[in-house]
Amino acid sequence: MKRVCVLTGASGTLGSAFCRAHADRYDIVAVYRTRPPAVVSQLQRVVDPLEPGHLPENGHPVFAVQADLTQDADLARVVEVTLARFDRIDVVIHAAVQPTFGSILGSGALVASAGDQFRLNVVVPLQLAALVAREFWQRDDRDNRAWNRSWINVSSASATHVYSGRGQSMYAASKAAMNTLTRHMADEFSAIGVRVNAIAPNSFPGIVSTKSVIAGLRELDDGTMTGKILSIGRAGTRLS
Amino acid sequence: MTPPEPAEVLQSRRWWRRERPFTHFVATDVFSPEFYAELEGSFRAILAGGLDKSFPRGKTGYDAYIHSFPPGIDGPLSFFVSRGWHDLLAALAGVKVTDDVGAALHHHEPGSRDGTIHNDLNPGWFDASAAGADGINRASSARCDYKHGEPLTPGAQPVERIRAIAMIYFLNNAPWREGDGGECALYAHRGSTAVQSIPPVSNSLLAFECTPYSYHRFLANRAGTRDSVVLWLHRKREHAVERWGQRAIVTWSR
Repeated sequence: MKRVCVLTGASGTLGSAFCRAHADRYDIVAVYRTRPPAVVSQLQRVVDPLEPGHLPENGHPVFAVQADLTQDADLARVVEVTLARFDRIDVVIHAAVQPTFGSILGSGALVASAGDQFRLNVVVPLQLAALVAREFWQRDDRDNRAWNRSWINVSSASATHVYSGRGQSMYAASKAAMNTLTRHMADEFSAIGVRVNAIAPNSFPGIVSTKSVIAGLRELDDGTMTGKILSIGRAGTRLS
Repeated sequence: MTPPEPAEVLQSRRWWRRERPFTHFVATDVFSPEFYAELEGSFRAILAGGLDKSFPRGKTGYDAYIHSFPPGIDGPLSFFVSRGWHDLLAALAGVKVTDDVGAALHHHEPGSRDGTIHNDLNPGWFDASAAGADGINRASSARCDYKHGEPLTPGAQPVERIRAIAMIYFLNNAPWREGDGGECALYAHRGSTAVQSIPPVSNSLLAFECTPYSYHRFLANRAGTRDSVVLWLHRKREHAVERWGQRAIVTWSR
């Protein structure tokens, strides 16, 4: 049986690649804000213009859900429609991002974005995790352990490193806060049998490959660790 | 020149069928690079004839220059009004169509205004006696008026059809970036915001069945020119009336 995965930021680089790589292994609830992920879903499928009919590529559609995660009602709807459709949630991957880079000294846009960046990287996962726990995970901790249920935050190498001149101050600070939130969530969610970890890749695709980040997500979901940050960089991966 | 069969020139065999805001098809890298180059070359040759001469100004509500395909069109662009392309689009959309086809080249100068939201469920008139050897009846402004049906040559037998499938194929456009404009935006209803917007990337296309709900419009192009081939297949009027009623058909103003 496929694991049920709620994936935020599904239309981003990582989200879309994860859907393409693993729609055959997970029932993916692909949460997007404006643009549906460019993968097969209930909203779209591929056709052969010369031979309209069944194509194997359409065999594992994701379930695409539009939502503005900064809206409380949309957060509740994501959980509601997921449970209505699949009856359970086995893993949540919070990959939604809205980075704004700029100089603290010269960028009004950076200062203006601070609240939104902090909200998406810290407040939203906190709210969504609380909702998932209340609506499903708090029902049966033994069931959670049996299914190896987990939560994965997509953090960044910039949470622990200053990359000079990149204007990443608020992005990095909010990712650092996300790492701390991850460890606190792991501590509290151990009581209900749910593991919580984060992945902190360097820039992808570029310094590291998107494929390596996806492999890291699988490592965290398949494993038994909790409260860990999986760093992915030029030198390889490191769990801390 | 006999137009090629679609199988000979198609590059992408994987097109997207999307369901919102209404069923439509989008594809990129539609044709092989060689055939695309031929299409673009033909387009440019017509464009070189001069905007006001080769591309008369469009009518109100659509800020474009329009070059209607002549019924005897030859060369690479004739592919779009070929039997093979007609049958491919009809099968793809699953729509029962007639053999009547209208097509044109559209050119937007930079800064062209937004179009109005419309659905393309309009009449199109054809001379029933003018079908080609392949059975395709190509619209001819010399034989009858496309919008109102007045015969323009002795012996013409105007017959009214209704647009059934619309296609827009983008070509001759500079690489597109977010913010450049020129997209074809799709809407759930007239008062809504765009649900999808299809960028005018060269060698890509958009196709959809014309229904009372196929709302779309051209979005202003801010960065550069925006060129395309537009095409409509048609259905019998009685089929459209049976499905949606007389009042759903949007007649042309004079």
